[in-house]
Amino acid sequence: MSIERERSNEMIRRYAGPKATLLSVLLASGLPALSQAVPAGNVFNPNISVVGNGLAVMGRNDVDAEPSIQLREVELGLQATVDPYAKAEFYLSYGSAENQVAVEEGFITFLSLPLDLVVKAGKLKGAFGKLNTEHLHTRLFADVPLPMTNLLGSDDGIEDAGISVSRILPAPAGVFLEGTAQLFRGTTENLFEAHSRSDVQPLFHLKGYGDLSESANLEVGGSFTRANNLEGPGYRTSLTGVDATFRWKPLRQSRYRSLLVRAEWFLSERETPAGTVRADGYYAFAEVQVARRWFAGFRHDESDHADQASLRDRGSSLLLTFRPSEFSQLRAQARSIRYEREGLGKSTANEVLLQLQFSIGAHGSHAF
Amino acid sequence: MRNALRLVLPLLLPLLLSQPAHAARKLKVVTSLADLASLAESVGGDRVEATSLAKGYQDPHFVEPKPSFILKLHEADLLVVAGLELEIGYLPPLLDQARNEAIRPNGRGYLDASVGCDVLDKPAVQVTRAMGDVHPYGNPHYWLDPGNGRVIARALAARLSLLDPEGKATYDKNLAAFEARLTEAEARWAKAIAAWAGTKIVTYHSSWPNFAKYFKLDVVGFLEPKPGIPPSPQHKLELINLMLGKKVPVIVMEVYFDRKDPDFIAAKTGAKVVVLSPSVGGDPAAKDYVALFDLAVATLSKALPGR
Repeated sequence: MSIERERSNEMIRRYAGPKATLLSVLLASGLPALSQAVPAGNVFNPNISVVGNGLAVMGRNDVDAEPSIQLREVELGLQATVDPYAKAEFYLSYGSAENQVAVEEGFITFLSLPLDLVVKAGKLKGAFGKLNTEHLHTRLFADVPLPMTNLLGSDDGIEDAGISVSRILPAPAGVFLEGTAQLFRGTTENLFEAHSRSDVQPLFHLKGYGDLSESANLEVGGSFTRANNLEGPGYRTSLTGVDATFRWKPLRQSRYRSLLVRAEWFLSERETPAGTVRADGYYAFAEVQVARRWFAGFRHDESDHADQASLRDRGSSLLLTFRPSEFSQLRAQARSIRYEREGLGKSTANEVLLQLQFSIGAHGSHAF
Repeated sequence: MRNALRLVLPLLLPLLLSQPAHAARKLKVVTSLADLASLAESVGGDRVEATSLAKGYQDPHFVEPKPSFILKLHEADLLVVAGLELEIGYLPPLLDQARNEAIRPNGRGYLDASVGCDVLDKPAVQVTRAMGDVHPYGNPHYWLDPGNGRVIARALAARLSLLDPEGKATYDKNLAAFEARLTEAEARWAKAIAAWAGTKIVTYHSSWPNFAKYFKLDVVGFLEPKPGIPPSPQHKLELINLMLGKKVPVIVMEVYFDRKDPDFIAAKTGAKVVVLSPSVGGDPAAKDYVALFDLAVATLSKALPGR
C-alpha cells in the first residue's frame, strides 16, 4: 500500500463524498486486477449458481415408487440488481419426475419503497410456513414430509404467479414481527385452480422471532390461504398453518455444535359437492450437530388425505447428514411410512434414501 | 388495539415532547465485527452507539442471519463491514430485508473498512473452490494489523463527520486521541517484536497473515490443509514433520476452534498451543482494539521460549 494511494483515498473520501465510495473501492482494494480480468460486457452479468440433487432409493414402496437412482433436480439460480430500485432473481429447475425445465421462482424485489415495505412480484413460492418456502436443496430432509404431499398438493407446494407485500410490524423490544400479504393467480398443482380472473388467491403470513439468549432463539409463524380447488368453480380450499422453530448454537463453538427443532401443522378445509373435508397433518423434526461436519436427525410426520380425512399416513425417519464443505452434502435417511389407501388398506414402506447434493457458482447465503 | 393505543399514548406523549429537539440522539453504528465497533466507539465517543453483529469469540465467516439483526440494521445510520466477502454468508439477505436504503452498498451509510487497508493473500491465479474457502479479493482478517486499524479509524472519522457534520470537531479530536494511544502502544509492542522477530509459527486458520507481518512472525503452516477444511490425519502427520524440521515453538489458534487437533500436534512436537483472540471481546481482557493486541503480545511473550 503506497502512501500516495492511501492519500488519494483520503482525498476521495474527504472531497467527493459517498458517491466516490465505489470509485475508491475500485481504486484501492485490489479490485483493479479483477476488474481488468472481467470483460466489460460481463460486469453486469448476474451471479450464477447451479445445484445438483441426486437421489438413490432402496427398499420397497408400493405407493410412492421413486426410481432407484435419479438426478432428481438441477436448479439454475440467477441473481442481479435490476436498477437502483430493485433486484431480481430467477430459479429454473429441471425435475426428473416432470422431465422438463420449469420456472420454480422468478421475481423482482423492490427494496426502497415507502412505509418500509418490501414488495416482490413474479412467480413466487407462497409464504406459507417454513417448508413451503424452501427450495429442494435447502430442505432438511432427503424427501418431503407427508403433509406437504397430502395437503399442499405436491412436493413443490404453493408456487404461483403473484405479488407479495411484507412489512415489519410494531412489537415489544427485541421481537421481530413481520406480516406478509400475498395475492396469487390461484393455480397450484393438485391444489388450486382458478376458473376466472376473480378466483385470485390471497395468502397471509405472520412471523414472530425472538432471541432467547445469544445462543438460542425461537421463531413462530401462522399462515392462511384460501382459493378455488379442483372440484370445480365455487368449491374452495382453506389452508391454515402453524410453525415453530427452536434453534440453539453456542457462538464460541458455532462450527461444531447446534440443535434445531421444528414442527409445522397444517389444516386443510376442502369444499366438495359432498360437504367440507377437514384434514390435518404435521411433522416434527430435531437435528443435532454432533461434529463439525456431521448432523443427526429424527422426524415424525403424519397427515390425513386432503380428499378423505379418514385416511391418515404416518411416517418416521432417521437422518444422518455429512457436509464436507459448504458446497456439498451427503445425506442418508432411513424411512418407514405406514400408508392408508382406500380399498387397499394399510401398507408399510421401509426405505433407505441417499441424497447427494452439490453446488457450484456464486456463494449463496447460509440458510436460516 | 385502538384501546391499547389510547392507554399508551398519553403515557408516551409527555416523554416524546419533553425531549429537547436534537437531544442526544446518538448515531447508530452497526458493524459486522466487534473490532470495527470498538474503533467506531473510539472515534465516535459519546456521539455514537456502536454494536456488532458478530461476537469476538465467534467465527466471523459463519454468522447466522438472525431476524433480530434485521431490526438493528433497520435502525442503523452507518453499517461498517470488513468486506472482501467476509460477510457474504449472512449480510446480503439481512440487507435485503432491512428496509434501509442508506446502508446498502454505495449508500451514505455503508462503509467497507477494507478500503485503503493493506490487504494480503490476494490470489495471483484464478481461484477455484478446490483451494477451500479462498477469498478472491484477499485475506479478510486484515484488521489484525494495527496499521490497518489506523486506516479504518481515519475512514470512520471521515464518514461520521459526513453523516453528522456537527460532530466533526469531536470526531477529529477522538481520532487524534486514538492515534496517539495506538502510537504509544506500538512503542510497547516494538520491544516484544524485537525479542521474537522471525520466530516461526503455525496457525489453525489463515487468520493471521497481517498480524504476523506486523509482529514479525513467520507463518510456516496451518492446521487446516486448505482454508475452511478441517485437518485430515495425513495433513496432521505432514505438519508434525514440518514443525519438527523447522523447530516451530508455537501453534496459534483462534478461540472458536476445537483444541483437540492443536493439542495432539503440540504433544507430538513439543510446541505450545497459544489461544489468541482474533477479535475484540474474544477474551474478556481484549476489551477494545488496542487491548486486543496488548493481550496477544502478552500471551505470545509468555509462550515463546527463552526470550
